[in-house]
Amino acid sequence: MEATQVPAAASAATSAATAEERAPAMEGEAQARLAATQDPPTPTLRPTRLRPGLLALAATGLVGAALLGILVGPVGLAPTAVAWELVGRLPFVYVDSGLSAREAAILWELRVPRVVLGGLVGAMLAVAGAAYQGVFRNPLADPYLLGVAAGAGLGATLAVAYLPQLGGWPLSPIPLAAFGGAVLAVVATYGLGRSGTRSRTTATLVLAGVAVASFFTAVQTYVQQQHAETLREVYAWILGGLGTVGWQQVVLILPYVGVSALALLLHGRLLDVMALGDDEAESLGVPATRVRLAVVGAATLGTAAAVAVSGLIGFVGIIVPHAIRLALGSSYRIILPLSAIFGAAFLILADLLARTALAPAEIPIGVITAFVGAPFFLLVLRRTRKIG
Amino acid sequence: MNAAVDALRTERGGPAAPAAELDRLSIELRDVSVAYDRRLALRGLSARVPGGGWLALIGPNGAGKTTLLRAIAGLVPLSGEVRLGEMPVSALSRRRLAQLVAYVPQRPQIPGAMLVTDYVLLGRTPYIPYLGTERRRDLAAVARAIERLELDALAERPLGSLSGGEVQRAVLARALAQEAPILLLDEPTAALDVGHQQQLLELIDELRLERGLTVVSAMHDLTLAGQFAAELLLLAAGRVVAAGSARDVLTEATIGRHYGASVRVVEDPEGRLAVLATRTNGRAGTRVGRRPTVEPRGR
Repeated sequence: MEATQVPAAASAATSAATAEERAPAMEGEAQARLAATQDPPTPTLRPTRLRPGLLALAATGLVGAALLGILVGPVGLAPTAVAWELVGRLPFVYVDSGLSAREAAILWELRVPRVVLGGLVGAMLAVAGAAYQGVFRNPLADPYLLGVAAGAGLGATLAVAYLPQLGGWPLSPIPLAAFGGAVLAVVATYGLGRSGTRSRTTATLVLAGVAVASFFTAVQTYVQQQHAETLREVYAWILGGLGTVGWQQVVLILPYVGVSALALLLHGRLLDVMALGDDEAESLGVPATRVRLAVVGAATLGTAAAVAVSGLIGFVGIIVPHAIRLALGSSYRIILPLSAIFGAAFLILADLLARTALAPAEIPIGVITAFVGAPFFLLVLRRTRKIG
Repeated sequence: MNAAVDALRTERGGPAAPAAELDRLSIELRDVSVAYDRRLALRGLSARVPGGGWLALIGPNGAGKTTLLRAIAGLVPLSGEVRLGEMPVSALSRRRLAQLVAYVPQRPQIPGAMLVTDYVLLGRTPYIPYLGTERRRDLAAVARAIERLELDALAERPLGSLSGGEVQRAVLARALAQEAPILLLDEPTAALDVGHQQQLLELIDELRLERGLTVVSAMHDLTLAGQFAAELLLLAAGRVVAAGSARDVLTEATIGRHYGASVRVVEDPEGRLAVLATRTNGRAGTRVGRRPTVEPRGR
């Protein structure tokens, strides 16, 4: 070895000197440091949070959309009378709204349940979409990614084709079959996607979803081919709609949607950690695989319930979270709750358009959301490509 | 170079935010083997890092440096034993381990739209209950880390708008907010220019001394490895082939053998070593233990 002067190495000498000077100084400062830790300085940080003002604004928007949905329809209801009627339903308040019995029935058995159902379905689809995008770290993921739609479609088709059309059912078997098919499809996807290699990516899961969806769709097409008379009914279900009389469907999905949406909303912080990828999330103490399973489970259950009563309404799970992401940033602590609120408002308004645009005929609501959603989807795609 | 850094620090107001010195924690590996799909990435490796020390892992691509870091961080299944102080890693929960070991991968995921503050706050994850939210002391730790790494002005900027050096500082701030006594760094200087490389390593050394951190870093730059780390561990094909001080490990013969490289090792007046690659017109040294093939990186 030869001793040669190297200019770059000379700087290291300075660092050695400073390090040695620093060592004794540390001892003296230790006390001060300890005191400082016990009494932390008031943080002037402003981490991303859902500010109350924003939440209030969003809630106001939802109330506005709901009122619009209740007031607009083929039978004109006087806004003031409707307002009094709504107030009158509050406990301990007795007012005469002036609505006739028929008008009150239209309000309570047609308009309000339809708006509530639209709100529940929209909130569920949007919040599930946001959660899927979080755990799969893919901006174009939505609740249908792992086969919910294909499973529900097959379930509905089987019910229409093979179940006896008797009056004996307490409620229509189609939603139940659709729900079962949707859950089954996602369970199959998860089982297949995980049984392969212990891959650290979500790609195998997504590919398994594609395979399962194709398989279920193939079976569905075959069954429809064999039972051509079912086509119309299945088609009507797939296109989706919120046409409902009374509260039965609301009551049917409320427990699933309520529990699922709540579970997803609680995962906002963890979804932000998951943005770092499984490896780094685990190095921060987060069991990434378990979080993904919990989120996918909750999102699937809620989506399956929503889809079972409303049909396959597309794009809500993509456009709503993305609009929020574009406007307010990437933290799921904001995206999840606002997706629920704006998803509800969006679907209520889309349904309003669906039933009034060509009244008395109804446009399938899936057509409306896709009509708005597809162009937006392309916009997101272009933007994502720019970032990626 | 260093004068400039010191000047910058003085200008910013002398010694930065206070931080408690953590309990120094040693790392011990006993006969550790790790296999990926039946290919052995580490073969019965043993090593020890004293609490508060700095060990640099060097070795050619695919030698097992990253795997060794991941083994200490509890991210790969392994045979043998890793101990932090007296505690075997296998007996610690994932959360507890994350409170003791901060791991900075070679290419951390940088969510471009995330704000620096939110990103640093992720370092507090091991202290926050599963469905809970951060508390005051978490925010205080984040504030200290941001101040210490002089990120105040960037705190509300999205990560995507930062330069490479600034991103690296944000990543280090996240690791610092984790307040773990052990810091694992995989090629921390890989994406930085020569000035930022030195500044970053000086900073890591300061943090090590301030907080009593035990640092293990995988490094490609042999000169920097030799000048900053107290001890070097040369890996080849998953085994330790040389260990000790820079003077023991960084010899022309050893590097020639294991990297298949032709180098000259020179000494500056203070006795520090520098490794210079030299051109040999196609007669580079022959590697042992492994053919010079391209290995998948990042493991």
